[in-house]
Amino acid sequence: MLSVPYRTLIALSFISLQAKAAMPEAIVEIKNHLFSPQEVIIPANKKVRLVFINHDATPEEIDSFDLNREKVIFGNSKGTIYVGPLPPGTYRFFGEYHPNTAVGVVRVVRPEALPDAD
Amino acid sequence: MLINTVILFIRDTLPVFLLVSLVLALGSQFIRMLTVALVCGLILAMLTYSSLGTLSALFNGGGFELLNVFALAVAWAGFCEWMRRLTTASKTDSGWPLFVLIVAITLVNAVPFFIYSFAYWSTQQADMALMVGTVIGLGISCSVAVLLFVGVSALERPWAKRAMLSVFVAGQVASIAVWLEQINVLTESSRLWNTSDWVADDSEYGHLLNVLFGYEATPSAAYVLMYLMVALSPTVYGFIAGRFRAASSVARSL
Repeated sequence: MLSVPYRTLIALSFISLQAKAAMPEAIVEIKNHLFSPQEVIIPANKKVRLVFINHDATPEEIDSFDLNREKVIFGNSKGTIYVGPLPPGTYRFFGEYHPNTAVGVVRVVRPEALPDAD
Repeated sequence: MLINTVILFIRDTLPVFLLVSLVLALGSQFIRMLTVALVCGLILAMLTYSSLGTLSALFNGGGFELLNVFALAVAWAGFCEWMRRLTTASKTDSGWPLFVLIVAITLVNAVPFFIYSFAYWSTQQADMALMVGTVIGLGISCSVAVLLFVGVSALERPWAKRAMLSVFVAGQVASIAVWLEQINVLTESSRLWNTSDWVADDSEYGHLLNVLFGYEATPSAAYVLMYLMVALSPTVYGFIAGRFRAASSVARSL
C-alpha cells in the first residue's frame, strides 16, 4: 500500500498531465521572416501554449508589448511561450529582428466565438 | 535596418550604461571594480552565447529564461549585500557584492545583443546601416548615461542616490516574474492597471522609463510584488543582518 505522500504525488502528476494535455496549443511557423499564420485565434480566459517553429537559418526574437513576452527562437528550432488567461482583444507580436515583415496578432475571443465551436 | 539596430542596441546596452552611471554617482572608488566587472560580464555573456543553443533547449525549452532568472537572483543577492555594507561601518570591503551585481546585469543584457550581433549579422550583408546604427545607439546610450550621472551626482543626500539605484535594480530584477510566467512556472496573474494611453511600452518614453525604473504599462500582480520585494529588500535584509550581528556580539560578550 502506498503512503499518503506518494498517493498525493501520483494524483498531482495526473492532474498536471491532464492540465498540460487540456491546455490549448497554437503553432506559428516562421518562414522567410514571415509568421504563418499571421493571426492566431485563442480562447479567452484560458492559458494557451504558443509554439513558434523557426524554419529560417537565422534567429528571430518574438516580442510582444501587448502580451509582455520576449523570446529568441534560434534558426531551425522551436520555442514555446505561454500566454493567458487573457480577456478578449487583439494582442500584437512581431519579430524583433525583422519588424517590417515578421508581424502577427493573437486574437483572443470568447470560447463560443471560436471558428471550430458549435 | 538602421533604426532597428539603434533600438536593439539601446534596449540591450542602456541598462548597463545606466548601472555604471548610478554606481559612479555613489562614489569614484569603484571605477576599477566596475571595469573588471564589465569585462567579466561580457566574457561570461560570450561563453553563455557559445552554448546558448544547448542551454535554451533545457527544461522543456525554458533554459534561457531560467538562466536569466538565476542571474537576476544573483544580482539581487549582490545588491542586498552591497547596500547593507554601504549602510554599515565596513565600507572598505564593499566591493565584491557590487562586482556580482554588475556581472549579472551585464550578462543578462549582453547575451541578447550577442545573439543579434553574431548569429544574425554573420549571415546577413552587414552593410553600413548596421555599423551606423551601432554607433548611433552607442552615442545615445552614452549621452543618457552621462545625463543620469550628472543628475544623480547633483543629489546631495546619499539615501536619494541609493534610492535611485534601488528602483533601477528593482526594475531589472522584477523581470524574474515575467520570465517565470513565460515558461509557465508562475501562473500569469491579472493586469493591475493599464497606463498605455499615457505612456505606451513601445514608445520612446516607455523604453526609457522601463530601463530607468522598470516601467510597465500593464504590469501583472506578480511583477509588482516582485518589484516591491526587490526595492524594499535591502532595508529588510540590512535590518535582519543587523539584528543577527547584534545577537552574535551579545553572545560573544557573555
